[in-house]
Amino acid sequence: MAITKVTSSVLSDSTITQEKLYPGFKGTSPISGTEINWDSSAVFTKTLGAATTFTYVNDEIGMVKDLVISGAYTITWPTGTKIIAGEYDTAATNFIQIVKTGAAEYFLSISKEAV
Amino acid sequence: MVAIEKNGTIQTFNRLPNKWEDEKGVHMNFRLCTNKEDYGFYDVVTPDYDRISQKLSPIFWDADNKVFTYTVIDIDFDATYDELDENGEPTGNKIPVYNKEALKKTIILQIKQQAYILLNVTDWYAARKSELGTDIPQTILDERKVIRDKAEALETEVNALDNVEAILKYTYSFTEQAEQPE
Repeated sequence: MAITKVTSSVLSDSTITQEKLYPGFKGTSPISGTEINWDSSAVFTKTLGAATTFTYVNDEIGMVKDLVISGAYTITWPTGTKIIAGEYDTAATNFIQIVKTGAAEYFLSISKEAV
Repeated sequence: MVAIEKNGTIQTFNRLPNKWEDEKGVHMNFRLCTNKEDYGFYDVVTPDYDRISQKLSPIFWDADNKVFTYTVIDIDFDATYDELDENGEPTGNKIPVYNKEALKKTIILQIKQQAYILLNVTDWYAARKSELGTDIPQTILDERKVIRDKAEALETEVNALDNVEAILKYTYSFTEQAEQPE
């Protein structure tokens, strides 16, 4: 009988490579507009050229996204965002990590390269 | 200064907060925003006023000028309040809010205290004179007399003040400033 669904018992240990992962768990992509598609990449980058209001699509509870953002402009995050650590540095590249913890709840922390 | 009205309450800030949250979302670097009015923030205009004889009303929204501002109110220095007896009932006596004599007494006390401090520096000359009979140098005697005379003159000035505004605006200095040429 042909295998129509792959179950974990079929897979040998340590056989899933990075390449086989779903896009949301790998790769980096620039944010061209203001929408962040949580399914499309693990890491997102953007250099702000104006005040920016980010919106999310395909965000699910438990997902974590890393953003690398620079630029001295106002950033608006979706309602429910809780900034738990760090200060955005307008003169540096900021590493922003967002965890979706509830239906409309996101914990966001900011850090940057130690100089 | 800027302000925003939320739920009927006006909140003022020395400058835009760097983090702000509203129905549009959570704003980071909010201080950099160039369109604060879109978020409900407007400038606060404080009119010039005499800080002794006038006061500002509570802040309000001036829709015509799109600013938060205040009205200048003249302080009623002749205002009185009802004296109450031990049962909390009015006695019929009106008590002035601003007690001229008490205000003058406070200033005179401050003058005397300052004179005391200034004289204290050279008091040891007087003590030495008293104990050992050593003469006090004339310059020191003159200096101490200037301080005492000045305190007396200031006290006379204060006693001559006849209205609350003049008393509140009264300033004094023991160190005379040379007049600056115009």
